[in-house]
Amino acid sequence: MLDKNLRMEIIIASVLTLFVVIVVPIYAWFAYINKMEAMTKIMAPASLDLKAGHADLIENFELKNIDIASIRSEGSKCYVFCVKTGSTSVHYDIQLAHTTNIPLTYTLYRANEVTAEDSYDVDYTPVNSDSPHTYYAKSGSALSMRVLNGDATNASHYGRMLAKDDDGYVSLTYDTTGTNPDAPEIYAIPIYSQVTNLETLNENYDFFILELSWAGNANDETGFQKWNKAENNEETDVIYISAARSTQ
Amino acid sequence: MAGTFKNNPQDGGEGRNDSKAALLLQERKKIIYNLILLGSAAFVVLIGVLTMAWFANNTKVSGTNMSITVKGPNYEISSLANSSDGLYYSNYHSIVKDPSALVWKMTADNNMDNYGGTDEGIEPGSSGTISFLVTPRERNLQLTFTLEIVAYVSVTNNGVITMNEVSNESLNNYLCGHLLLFEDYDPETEYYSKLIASGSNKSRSFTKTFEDEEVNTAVQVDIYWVWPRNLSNLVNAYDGTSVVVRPMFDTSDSTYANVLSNISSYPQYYFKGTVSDTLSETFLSTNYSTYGSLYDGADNDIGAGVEYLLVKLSVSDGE
Repeated sequence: MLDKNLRMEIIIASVLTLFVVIVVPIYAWFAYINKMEAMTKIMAPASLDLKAGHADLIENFELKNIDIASIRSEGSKCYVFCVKTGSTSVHYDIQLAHTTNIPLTYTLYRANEVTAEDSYDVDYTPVNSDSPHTYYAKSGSALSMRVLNGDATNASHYGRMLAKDDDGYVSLTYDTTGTNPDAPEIYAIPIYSQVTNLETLNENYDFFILELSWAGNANDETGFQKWNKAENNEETDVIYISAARSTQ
Repeated sequence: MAGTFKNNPQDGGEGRNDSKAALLLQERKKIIYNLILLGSAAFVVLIGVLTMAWFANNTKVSGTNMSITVKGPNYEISSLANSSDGLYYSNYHSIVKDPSALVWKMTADNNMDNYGGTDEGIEPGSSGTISFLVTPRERNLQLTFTLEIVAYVSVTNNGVITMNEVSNESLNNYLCGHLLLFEDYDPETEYYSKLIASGSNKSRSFTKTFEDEEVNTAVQVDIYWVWPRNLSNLVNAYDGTSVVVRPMFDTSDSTYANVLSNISSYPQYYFKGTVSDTLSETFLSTNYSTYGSLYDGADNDIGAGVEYLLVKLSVSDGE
């Protein structure tokens, strides 16, 4: 068996060696940092919602009580809706697509909620209910809408602008090829108009007023009579309001 | 009188002492010999380990004239002064952090929307600057900075958070084209320049040469990050009516050409879905409504499918 001294020396030497072996590698790594990392989060995309006045469900949006005679004499009738984007950094477009059976013009304004004592443009109540009343007034001037497919050339003849019946939007909307192509009536072809790159003023409700007014050319007594006699007395128009995030 | 004694008097009284001394000497020799052996073994291990450690850390080991010289580190990197761990470090970043990397710390005006407040985050339209400090220890040092972005989704079960890497190829592709990094930004013109482009392997890098007089001083390196809101920020499709936004570059600058080239080489980084074979500036501008929507579709997918981004910087000597 090894002498005690020798054993002690061997143990000490081995321990020192081990110590050196461990210390050097740790120090070496510590001295050579060449990487850094940071972490950030991606926000969830904001969704766009169309709602009625008072931020009610869209089912409450109604173009009700349209009396052609009163629109013609009083000038216009207003309805309110709102766009909910969820984030003030979202820019969006609004599009109106409407048929032209009735000579109405559609204008968009931004709107603010006001009280019953202020001058208001819309007295909103939910559908099938008489309360609560919420009042809205136009804010600012009319939003300038770009009409994508209006035919201005025969507006005076018909008393309002109709849609072009032979351009790209017709082939997008109808099946114009094939053995049985669609043959839409000229008043049924929708006119598309858009306002783009609207800023979100309030991330929960951006209110808008849709104003229906009588088309200028049809506003005189003779024009009205012409329209009234040339077409049916009861007419239906369809209008689509859509909102989408801006691709601008 | 003759007799046999163990202690042979003819040898003189020193006989036993002699052999004892001899034995002791031998013992001592053995001890010294063993110590030398152990010592040299330790020395060999030491040299071996030193060489290995340095070798494993990308530093040159050169041998000239039969002597071994090991070069020390020729740069140091660190975060900006008075900076702190990002908002998402403690619960998310710390789970996936590379132990050999530093935490890239942020300040109030130098961050990736991961500083301050309770919940921040980036989205289309976000932009900012992230910087770090480099101290070159050698004159005229050239360093290559490589950036890699890894996407994660977090899952919480009974209060325990797990981070899962996003494996969806399309999402990882979109991040290369939608989160852009630049070396330069002019706050007056609001133009970005010197794109750090993503290559085919999805990593992006840029080189920087440090001046002679910058040795041993902390030099700030800035990276300008931006998530362009729409395709019109990247490609000139301005027509005054339907597209009213202009690109975020000087269109006569080489940066604009580099961006267009990156878009046409790697359309999968920018658009969702199938695209045409040739994506020139004219083509994209003419078909802006289609491709703008494809760009936005990719944005939406990123927002829905990726929750956290890990931005990894690594530095290497030379090109």
